[in-house]
Amino acid sequence: MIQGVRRHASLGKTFAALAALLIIMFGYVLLGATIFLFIEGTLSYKRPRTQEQEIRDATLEKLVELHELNFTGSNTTFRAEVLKELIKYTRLIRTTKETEEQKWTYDASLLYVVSLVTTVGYGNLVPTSSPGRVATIVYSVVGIPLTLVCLGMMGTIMARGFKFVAVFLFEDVVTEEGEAYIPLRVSLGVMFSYLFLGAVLFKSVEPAWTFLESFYYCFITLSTIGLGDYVYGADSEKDTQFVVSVFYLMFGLSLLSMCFNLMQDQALYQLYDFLSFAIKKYREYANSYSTDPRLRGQAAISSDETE
Amino acid sequence: MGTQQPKDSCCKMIMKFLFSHIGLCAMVILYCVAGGFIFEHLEKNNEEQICYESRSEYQPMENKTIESTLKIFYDLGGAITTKSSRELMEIQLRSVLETFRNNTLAIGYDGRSCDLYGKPAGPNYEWSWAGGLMFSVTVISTIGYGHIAPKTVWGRLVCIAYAVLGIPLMLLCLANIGDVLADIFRFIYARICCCGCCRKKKKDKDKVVAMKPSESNSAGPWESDKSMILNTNQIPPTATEFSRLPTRSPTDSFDNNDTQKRPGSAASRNGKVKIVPLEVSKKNDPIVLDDDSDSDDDDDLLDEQKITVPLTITMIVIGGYIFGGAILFGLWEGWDWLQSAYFCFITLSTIGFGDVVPGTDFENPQAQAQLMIGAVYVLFGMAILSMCFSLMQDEILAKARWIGQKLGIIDKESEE
Repeated sequence: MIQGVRRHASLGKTFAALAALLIIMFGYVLLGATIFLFIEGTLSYKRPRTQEQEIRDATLEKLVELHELNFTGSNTTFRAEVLKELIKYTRLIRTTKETEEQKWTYDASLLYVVSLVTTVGYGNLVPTSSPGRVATIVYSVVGIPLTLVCLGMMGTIMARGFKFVAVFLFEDVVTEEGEAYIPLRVSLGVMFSYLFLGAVLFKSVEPAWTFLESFYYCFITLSTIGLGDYVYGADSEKDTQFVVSVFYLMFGLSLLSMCFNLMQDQALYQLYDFLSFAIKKYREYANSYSTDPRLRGQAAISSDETE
Repeated sequence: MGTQQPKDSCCKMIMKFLFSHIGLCAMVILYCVAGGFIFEHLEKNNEEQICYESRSEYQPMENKTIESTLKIFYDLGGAITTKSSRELMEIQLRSVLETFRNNTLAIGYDGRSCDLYGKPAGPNYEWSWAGGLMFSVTVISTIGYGHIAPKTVWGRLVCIAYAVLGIPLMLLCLANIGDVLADIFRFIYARICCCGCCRKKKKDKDKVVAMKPSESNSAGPWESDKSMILNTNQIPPTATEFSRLPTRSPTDSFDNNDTQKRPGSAASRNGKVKIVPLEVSKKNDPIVLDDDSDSDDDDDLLDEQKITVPLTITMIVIGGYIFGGAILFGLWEGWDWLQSAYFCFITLSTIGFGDVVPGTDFENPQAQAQLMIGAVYVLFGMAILSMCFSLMQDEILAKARWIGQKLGIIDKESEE
């Protein structure tokens, strides 16, 4: 299909298609952020607060009751009873904690939606209401393929651009076929640099993180594992910090797509070459140390052959 | 020279086994099992340490709260209880409880008995072998729940290295399995549903080739035909998208599908089916037919529809797996139906929030078994998803091509 694009359709059409896709993508993400902000932030917001207060009031009632029952009783048993109530309260705190701690701002909602469609799935913010969960499923079913198509196209076009620039800058990368040959190490180098740069960036703007934590965060994000123990912007009260994560993630995934594109033709081919080479070398090494003079002779022959 | 050849084929045989389906699956499973042990070893002690530390922070705070409560009762809850003093007592108690709550959440100690870790009466380690197994599975499948995450420096470094090796391994395995399962599924489906069509097509020799379940399709670039390898520009955007999915290894059969448009390469490929040294044949799927039947695109679509499994069937398969999982985990974990379905969907899509995870109730004695079954569910789910993508891609590619043509991005004349 791309061959058809390259040879028949104009570049303008390709870019128009990509632009249209990107606009749809952005629109979908922004719309999704609004929807989830509404469902989880507004629709359900009152509930956890009330629930927490209810639990506290219930515990309060129990304590007062205990006190009245135990008015003339011993101090130690009363103390034990109070302790029991507190332990029960701790349990209840834990279960309502997840619903309470979430702050659904637009910014957080945006990161949530992006983490859905890119399948990163941090989990620092999750839907707790039933409509929220249903909406999540429906939204993802459409959003994930859309994102994949988008990223795929971005990757293809970026790969072409990369090859074009490479041909422009380094004349010797062009093969007989007229294609630019981007070796594996370049693609890997690009990815690693992006990770490293991200680590430096996040380390500098998030004072609480060490460099390793920052690097760990970037890697876990870009691989779309998304454990969620580290999320940039989750610790601070400032709004709009999540957006940084969003941009880093989206651009990083496009870059990853580009590298996959560049690597596809090369990866296993180079790996096969490398493995054949390694096996050959190993055989020579083994033969040269063998006690069998025939094999040692063969080691010499095969090392001659490689030249 | 003579002694080199047995070694040659010996190494090749080993590599062939490694990359055959059984070998890859076994490698993935071993990798997960090993990961379970590795992470358990790295994180278990730290988990105990954290428990002791947070407990030592929590207990003084708890005592202080009790003292404050008793003091309030002593001061204000005496024999004379006026309305105002009672109100005052309630306000003060409320504030004490709120402080207690905030402190409890900040410290993060959940009441488990740290001394009894691992003993029958005590809490389960989160970083048990089963927990580590679940963690490893979620890392290499990129689900990444995060309900447990490595906290030690070494744990994190190993996690990164584990992922760098494990994710491509997993993708390779899934691509492999996906194709095999898809071929089997198509074969069964064709047998069941299209008996009439089958007989008509039997004359075409490619059909026979197409129906043969193929071995690893990752042999693509292993062939020395450079033109096929370097012409990845032909890969449509959707192919790249699928190459990101668990179904596709970087050496995707898409380049095969598209390069088949050139009759020369198709013929050479069919020839190569037997010649390739590792005896790995190309993935022959129905699109091969397009080449030899010298037809235009409409006919192609028609041919494909007769052989490819329709989208609805694959959707039903995925839906069925999610439904089955929802029932299983709903019953076992005591979740309601929506929560289970939500868990299954979030897991299989590899989003993996981690808010709902089986086997994480630390008081449940069955937690270990739940974790293991959860891990198995994930691995099977990935394989089934891979199969479905493999089945769907033909239809989706055809539709994408059709859309592209309609939009004028691709011209009607197919690439020679």
